[in-house]
Amino acid sequence: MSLFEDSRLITTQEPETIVSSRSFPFRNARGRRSRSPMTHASSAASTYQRHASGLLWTDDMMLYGFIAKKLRPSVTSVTRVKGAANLKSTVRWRPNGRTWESKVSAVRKAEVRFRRGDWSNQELAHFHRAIAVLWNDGVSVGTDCGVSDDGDPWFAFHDADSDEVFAHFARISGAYTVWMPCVDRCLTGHVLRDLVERFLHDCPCRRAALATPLAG
Amino acid sequence: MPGHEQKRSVTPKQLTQERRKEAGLWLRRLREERGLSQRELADKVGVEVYTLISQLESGRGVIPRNRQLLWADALKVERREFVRRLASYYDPRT
Repeated sequence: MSLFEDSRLITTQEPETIVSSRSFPFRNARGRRSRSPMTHASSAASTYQRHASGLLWTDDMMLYGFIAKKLRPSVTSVTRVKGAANLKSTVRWRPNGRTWESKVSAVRKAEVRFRRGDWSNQELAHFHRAIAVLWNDGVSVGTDCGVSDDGDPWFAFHDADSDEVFAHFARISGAYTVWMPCVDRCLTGHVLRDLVERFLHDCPCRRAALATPLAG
Repeated sequence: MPGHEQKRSVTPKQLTQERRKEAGLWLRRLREERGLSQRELADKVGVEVYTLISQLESGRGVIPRNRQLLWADALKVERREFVRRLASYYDPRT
């Protein structure tokens, strides 16, 4: 599930002029995913600003916009709904002389990073702990990470000497997966910490390193 | 000194990584030319975690030998040509 398919980010109060996530042309003619339909503003109740990142900023959070490109220039204000537990903000715009208003959902910055596809610091901390354990056990481990075309992040552990990948972690639709090619095993779970533990327990490279007596 | 260029030495490991990146770019180009998404390709080649396609396209890891023909069929490339081209990236000595 990609960012745009996440139903939690879609407001239910949008009038017809806002293009919904289903009808928005997320894919171009070649079938590739197109840019985000998000908007950007400098602060709450601020003037609208176009920005390459396509995100809508407020004081301490980012808003996910659902406004089609052609409607963006008509946005007149963005106001955070005070005291709203679910972090709602109001966006007003005048497409053709008539003012429209819509409430949009917002998420905190940390969540934005999480949903955007990058690994959060907490998730990276679990990986770094695994690296430390593997190094400690004598496995020369290297890492690499990236994001798929659909925005799902992956993190690979490989042998620093042979470059062979021995674990591939991914977060797909909120669930974590680790695939270990050398044993052809795939583990899934919703708690990364547990998954890392299981990986460390099952990791054949670690077992091999532990079984090999140190030289000298 | 101007005009004096330092010779940059490339280690075999760096060379391997560069070749794998080239292989990744080639695979990505093939996939895009066939109009396949990473998920669709993963389904066709029987890869359980579709982000592995992204990993391979970024030049990390290799396609296992026993899966190369599946990849050739999925990407609609002549099998022999695909395996040969892949070997030129992964193991140029052969």
